[in-house]
Amino acid sequence: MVKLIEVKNLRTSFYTEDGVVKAVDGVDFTIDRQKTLGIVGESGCGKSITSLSIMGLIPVPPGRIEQGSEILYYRNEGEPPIDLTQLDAKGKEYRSIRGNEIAMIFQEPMTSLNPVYTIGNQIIEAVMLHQNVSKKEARDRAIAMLEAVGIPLPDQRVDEYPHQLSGGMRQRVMIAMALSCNPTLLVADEPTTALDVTIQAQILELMKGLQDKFHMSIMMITHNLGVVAETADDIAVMYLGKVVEYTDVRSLFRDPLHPYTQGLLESIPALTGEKKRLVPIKGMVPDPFNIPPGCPFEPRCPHAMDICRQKMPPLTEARKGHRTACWLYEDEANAKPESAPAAAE
Amino acid sequence: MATKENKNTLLEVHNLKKYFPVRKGILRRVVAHVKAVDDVSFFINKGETLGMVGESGCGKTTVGRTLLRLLEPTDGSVTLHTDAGAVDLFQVGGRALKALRKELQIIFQDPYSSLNPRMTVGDIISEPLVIHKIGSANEREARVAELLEAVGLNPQYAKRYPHEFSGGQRQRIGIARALALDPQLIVCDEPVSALDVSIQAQVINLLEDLQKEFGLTFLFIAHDLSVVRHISDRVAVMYLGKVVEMCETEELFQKPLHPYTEALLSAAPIPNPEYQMERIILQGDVPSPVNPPSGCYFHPRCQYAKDICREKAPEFKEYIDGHYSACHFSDELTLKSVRDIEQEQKAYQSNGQSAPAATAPAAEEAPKSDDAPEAPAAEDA
Repeated sequence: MVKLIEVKNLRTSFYTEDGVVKAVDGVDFTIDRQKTLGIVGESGCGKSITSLSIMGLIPVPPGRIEQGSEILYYRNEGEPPIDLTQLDAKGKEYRSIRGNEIAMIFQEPMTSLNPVYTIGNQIIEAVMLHQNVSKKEARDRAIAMLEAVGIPLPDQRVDEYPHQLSGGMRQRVMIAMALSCNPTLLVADEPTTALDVTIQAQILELMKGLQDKFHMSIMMITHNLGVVAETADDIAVMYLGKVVEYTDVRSLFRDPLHPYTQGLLESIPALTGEKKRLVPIKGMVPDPFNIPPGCPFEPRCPHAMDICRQKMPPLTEARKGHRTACWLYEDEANAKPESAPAAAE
Repeated sequence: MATKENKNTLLEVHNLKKYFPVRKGILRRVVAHVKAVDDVSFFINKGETLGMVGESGCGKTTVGRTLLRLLEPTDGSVTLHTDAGAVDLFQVGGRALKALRKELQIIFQDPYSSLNPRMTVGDIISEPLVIHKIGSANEREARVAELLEAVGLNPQYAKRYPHEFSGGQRQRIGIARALALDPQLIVCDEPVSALDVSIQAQVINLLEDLQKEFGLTFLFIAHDLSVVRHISDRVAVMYLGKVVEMCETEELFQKPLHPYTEALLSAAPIPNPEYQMERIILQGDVPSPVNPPSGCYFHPRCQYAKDICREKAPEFKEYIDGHYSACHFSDELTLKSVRDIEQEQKAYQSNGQSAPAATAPAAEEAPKSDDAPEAPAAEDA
């Protein structure tokens, strides 16, 4: 498997008047070429900040990517990677990557398009910024992209304004814009959360088709376990700025290891099978200014032990290719020779 | 009449219509109407939960608000059966309406905008009691403590302000407020869709417990099918201002009669990567309720549409006992249900897959994270 992005010990903090929020606190994962990594977690778990860190869109100040964080981008196969954290986020090199090679679609298609420009102009702007083409070519590209994302009558729609389109159509426009420069990685931050189920099904289907067509990798950020089950190859489950479980999609759903993942899966009502009382995770996500020492999930965990209150468990390989950060599996992880870091790659 | 009632019926809705005028020009003349709710009939029995599902813009929220008279209806009737006899909510006003409002309460979707930030939690919860002049100040205070306890919050919280609480806790405050007057019917307008999944489960369990404890009746409006299936006894499916199907929950999931329901069931993502089914993907968007299509409103997106669907609006009628549908072909079509999905899923899993054990280290035959996901069927078949 060929690596595209390798995130190592990413720590992004926000320095506010009320204290420091460690929004992302030591996150590791890899995105392979033409694969989809799903990042799952509830609000405040740091999944969006992780994606903004990769995009170089963290507002500085108050935000800061801490020393020792690495986001390695394997731009060309066989060449040494670029560490995105070392680049100037406003500099030329980052701008040649952002929006061009790494593109992003946002959750809210209503607010992420500029209401005073036609959708065509907005796509043309992105294309002309990154590619050396004439306006005419850029417009043709915009029309072709609108067609690729399934917008009917693209040569007319290209001159329409965002308010003339429905929510699903606007999300298609966002995708068209993101794909207009043929990116190698598409970061999708809750791309279907604001949409209805039937439209969500359309958009997910579209993204899968476009992934094959454009040979890109996708980082799919969502809180919806159904959406990741359908789209992702690998999944990282995040809780309070940390990855607590990281494995391929089938192992995660078949054999969830971390108590938080187990709790999440038990707390969603099912569409099939017998109806039974839901098992919620007790309590709530702690205040980000006062994260408890040790494992952040300990106050809500049904299996909490003494050690959980004192020390954060490392993300180790508890089963083959299946990593989790929980003391429950620490013996199993220690029993094997230390091959953990290499296995998931 | 599309619906039949029995003596258990708490609320009957007949031919409810709510049109919003579209105004244009300097004179603000009415040029068209948004038919948000267009001839809807249904009933709710005592002590049950009627789920109301549909996509955004289908009119489900407007139904909830109109039958509480938070919005004035354009036409139709809503009959509430109380111990004192039946009353048409749309025919009463003034003091009589105010008295009836005690029986009908609402829980809103967004726990951030539905609580006044300048009022303490105690004031918010006791406001209905103040308006209806119930109890002395001390009695109200005791009632607030009781209600906070009932929704799982510390009674001491009465002195705090809404901003001190998380989304889930705020939703509990909203529920306590709805319970204050001991109502018969609570309209729950997407009460959990703004909450995280783990908190969502807490609130759903709370609503179920409260329903049992106080004998409440719910109209549960939601767009999430799995939540609706979990909590509802019966379900009404809405599309473009109309109820297109209504029946008992399991019946709907096992034997849908309307093609829109079929598509809705099929579109819901299933958290099971082992099995990915063929989806029915609806083409296009929901049409505008200002200019609905001719005939059956669903025909432009319906894969079974025939000529008659373009010409004649289907009647909403009972096909099987208690199962209503508005489709010309409900008698003929065999639609895909959740049961079919489930069976396919089982067949798929037994076909060469070891049973998904939750605890046993079953992951050994899922070799490495990189080559497992792409060829599920081929793996060890």
